[in-house]
Amino acid sequence: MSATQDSSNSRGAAFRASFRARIEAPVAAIFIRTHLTPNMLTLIGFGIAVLGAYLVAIHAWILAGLVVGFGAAFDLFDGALARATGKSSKFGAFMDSTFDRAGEAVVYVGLVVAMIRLSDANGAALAAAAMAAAFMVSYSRAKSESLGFSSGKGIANVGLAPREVRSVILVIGLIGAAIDVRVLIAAVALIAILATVTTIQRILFVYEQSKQRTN
Amino acid sequence: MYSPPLPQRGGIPAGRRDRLQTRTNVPSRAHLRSTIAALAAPPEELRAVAAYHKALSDPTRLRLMQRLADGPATVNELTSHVDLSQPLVSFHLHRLKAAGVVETRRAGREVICTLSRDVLTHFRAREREILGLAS
Repeated sequence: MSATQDSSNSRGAAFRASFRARIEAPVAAIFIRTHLTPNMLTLIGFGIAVLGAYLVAIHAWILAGLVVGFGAAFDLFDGALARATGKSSKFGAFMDSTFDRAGEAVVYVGLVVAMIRLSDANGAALAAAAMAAAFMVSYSRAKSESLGFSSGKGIANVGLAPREVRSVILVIGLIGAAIDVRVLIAAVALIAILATVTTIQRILFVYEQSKQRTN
Repeated sequence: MYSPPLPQRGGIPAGRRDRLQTRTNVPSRAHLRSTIAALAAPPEELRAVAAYHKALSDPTRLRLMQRLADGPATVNELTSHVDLSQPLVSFHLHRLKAAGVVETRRAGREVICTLSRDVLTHFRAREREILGLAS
């Protein structure tokens, strides 16, 4: 258990490092020229999520998939800009993760509306379950860090379905809905399951840490 | 005139029943049990009628059926009739097919949909029987 977590942590860290060098820095350089502050980027990212949610709700599947995917990628760059310009702040970090959650929530609300407009009660329930499960993943991380667990050990990398994975599954589902709407419903169900598994993995991760502490 | 049936209060002694009634309008345990039983496992027949109504409880699906009432149509014809994308029309057709009110068959590259009038008539008749409205 702990061995696999360690390997996934180092894999995550390696991915993060190469991502920072290859994509973050050049994109941050573009944003520096626009004179936007990192917090403005955070709010723009939320705006993109609202637009994506609207497109989901009106069943414009492909467009919704592109906008939601773009919004999810966009959310990575406010932190990049902050690091590149030395404007990193606690408030910025708080804004970033708060609006990331809001942006994720609004897309799931769009999904619930989309399912209701299809008169599909089960689909709507699944979308609500996926939202709850996604929030449990975020909450388990936030709470464990506020209690002093896993600081520096990267609980963000623990589990099957962190935000990036959820976004990819959702985008595939949305674009797949242009072929068959049931692809989207399956993707939402998959998110609900994987996010729940992730929460359980994080609970176990924190449990392991708590045992090491008391010993 | 119609008056709603009073909840049954079986199984509670008279003295307690009075106190319960004066305090709140709590349904009896037997009433709760039967309600839960009906929700958890409704009679098969009622479930079938409810599924039929669920299939029809969407304006797009009713519009598809309206078009099919005029005669069989291909999925493409239905798509242009309701002016929605093909995956959405297919999704609604799946629902109608699952309830049995629409049948589809392949003819070369086209899928032809027909309204199952027998099934519609059957459900209408069953519903009237269940509700005691059949003459």
